[in-house]
Amino acid sequence: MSRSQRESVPWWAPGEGSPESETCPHCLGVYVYELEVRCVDCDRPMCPVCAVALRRTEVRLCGECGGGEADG
Amino acid sequence: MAARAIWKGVIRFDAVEVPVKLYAAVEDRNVQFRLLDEESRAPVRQRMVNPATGDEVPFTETKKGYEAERGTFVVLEDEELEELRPEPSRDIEITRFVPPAEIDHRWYERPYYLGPDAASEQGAERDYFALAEALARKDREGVARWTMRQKEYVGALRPEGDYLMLVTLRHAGEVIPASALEAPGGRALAAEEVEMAEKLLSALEDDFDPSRYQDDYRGRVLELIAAMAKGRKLAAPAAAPPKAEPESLAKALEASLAQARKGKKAPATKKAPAKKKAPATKAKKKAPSAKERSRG
Amino acid sequence: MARPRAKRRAEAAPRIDPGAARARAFWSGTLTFGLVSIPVYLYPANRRGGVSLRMLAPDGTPLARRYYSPETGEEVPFESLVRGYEIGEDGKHVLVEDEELAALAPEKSREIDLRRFVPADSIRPLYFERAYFWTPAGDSNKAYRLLARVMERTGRAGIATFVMRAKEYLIAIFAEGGILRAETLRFAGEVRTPEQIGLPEKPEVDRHTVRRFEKAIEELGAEALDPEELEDAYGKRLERLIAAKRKRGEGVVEAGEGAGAGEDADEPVDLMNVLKWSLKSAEKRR
Repeated sequence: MSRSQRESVPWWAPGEGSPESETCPHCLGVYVYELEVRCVDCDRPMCPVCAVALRRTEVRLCGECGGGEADG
Repeated sequence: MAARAIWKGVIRFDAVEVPVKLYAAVEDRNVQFRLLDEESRAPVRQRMVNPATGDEVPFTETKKGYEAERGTFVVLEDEELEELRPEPSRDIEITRFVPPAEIDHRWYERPYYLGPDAASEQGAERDYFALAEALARKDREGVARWTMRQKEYVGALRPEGDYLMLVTLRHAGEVIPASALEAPGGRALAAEEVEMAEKLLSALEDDFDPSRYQDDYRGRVLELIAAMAKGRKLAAPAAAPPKAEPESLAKALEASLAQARKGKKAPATKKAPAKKKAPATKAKKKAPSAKERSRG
Repeated sequence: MARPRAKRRAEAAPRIDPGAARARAFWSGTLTFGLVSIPVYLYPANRRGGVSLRMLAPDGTPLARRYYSPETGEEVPFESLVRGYEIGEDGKHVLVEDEELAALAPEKSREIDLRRFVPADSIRPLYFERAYFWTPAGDSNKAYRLLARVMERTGRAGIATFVMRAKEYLIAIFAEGGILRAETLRFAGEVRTPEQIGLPEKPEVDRHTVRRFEKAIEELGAEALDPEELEDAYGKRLERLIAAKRKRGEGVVEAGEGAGAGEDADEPVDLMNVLKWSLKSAEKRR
């Protein structure tokens, strides 16, 4: 759904912002910086939707941060 | 309550090898935002669908692509993208050392602390502190490149007190300097106005003390959430009384100067709850700030 | 420098839709110092680099993003997305309206009061987070130019706090080349200390080792950065891969004009043009 189809889109809505918004490395979703969540284990960013999804599966980020000290 | 290291690496340049551990230096204090479904108030999940058919394509089956022109896509296979990734490595390679002024803070993206990786070998801890001291004495920052979790980084290796920090840097082209833009123009500014403005600025001069500032708003958001959780409403804070509009810039400057001078004699009465002290008061009260901080 | 400014056509402001330009502003309001009010817009001063990719189906069809309720599996239309916060650990959430959050800080959401000016170089670099440019709004840019002039002359940065996007920001305001810029700062509580991380205290270090390291640092000394070192190496490799595939006609899918309209149907105006237009926009009027 394009932005022009919705009246007064809130600033926090997904896909909003501008070219200066962030892109989630996990799902390629567009989100504004203020909503960014960082992985507690590896400090990489993710969008607020992925933050919930990943937490629900008990995995921090892309299954790479399983816990313990990193293996790069 | 030690933090856990994000990564382990080895600083390398010339014959120097210093094993280190990387830690996040930023504490994320944002109140966690959630996108909810209006009906169920549950946090939403997302899925990718073919807009024409409505069929879902699971994330594991999707491909990435580049929109070359409107409606034309170049599909990138997973294997092709894999091949672009850097080789895994534990090296933090320093390519050069430059004066700190060379890397303006606008290039700084995210800071990390480095700590010694004492477990890796004998003397690693002393080498770490020796390197931090050497960098501080030479007053230099190293340009560092490293690869962490299949992503390449470039950063600045800098001394911070007795320790070392690695700050990731933005990429070329990402910083718009003021020099790339033309300043707004207009009629020449009147000399008296410039003079008054300078005086006003002088009256407001102070040192930068980061401990003076707290995120009050965050506390109010948490209170609001707690109140809503209990089904209560919060009283809205009183709106600030409207300011009298001065007639001209010159009059505004004059009146401001007068006010600022009065402020030097007595604590300024500000309309907003003042966590900041009036600029001219001599006793800098740090104690209340510490208390506020422990609350947040 | 009170020379009158020559009316030169150095660079005419680009032609763009004022509405579109203002829509790109993150914030608009008033900077105040003393009783002087400066209406302004706030724009990003950093650009995103790199290549933007889209999610496609295996056959190359561009995909659309849909949200659904995890409990029912039913789609949640865009209009039904609301903002909330979690309470407690049991997955309960409260809905919070934008107005309720804005009402928490009425004095800080539209006006930025510059009450303190500090030496511009006294702020530790690792406190800086993001940068924005201020552009003059309103009918006259005189107050804007005045503030920029005196700040640049005195080498001072203004310190203030304000609320934007439901978050309180501590900012340092700089003037450079006649243009005002805000840089958000991390609050003291947001930057960890070595003690909090658990870094060990400094032991005795071997003087010879320090000297050896200093020599090695000298050997690799340079006066300036090499701009190539700041290149996005991965981004460049990705661009080359895409270009090569296009040339070979490999993996190129024509999804049709309609399909191209993704998350953002309207082509955004280039940020540089928006900034240039906005800086000039209050010039003509007085």
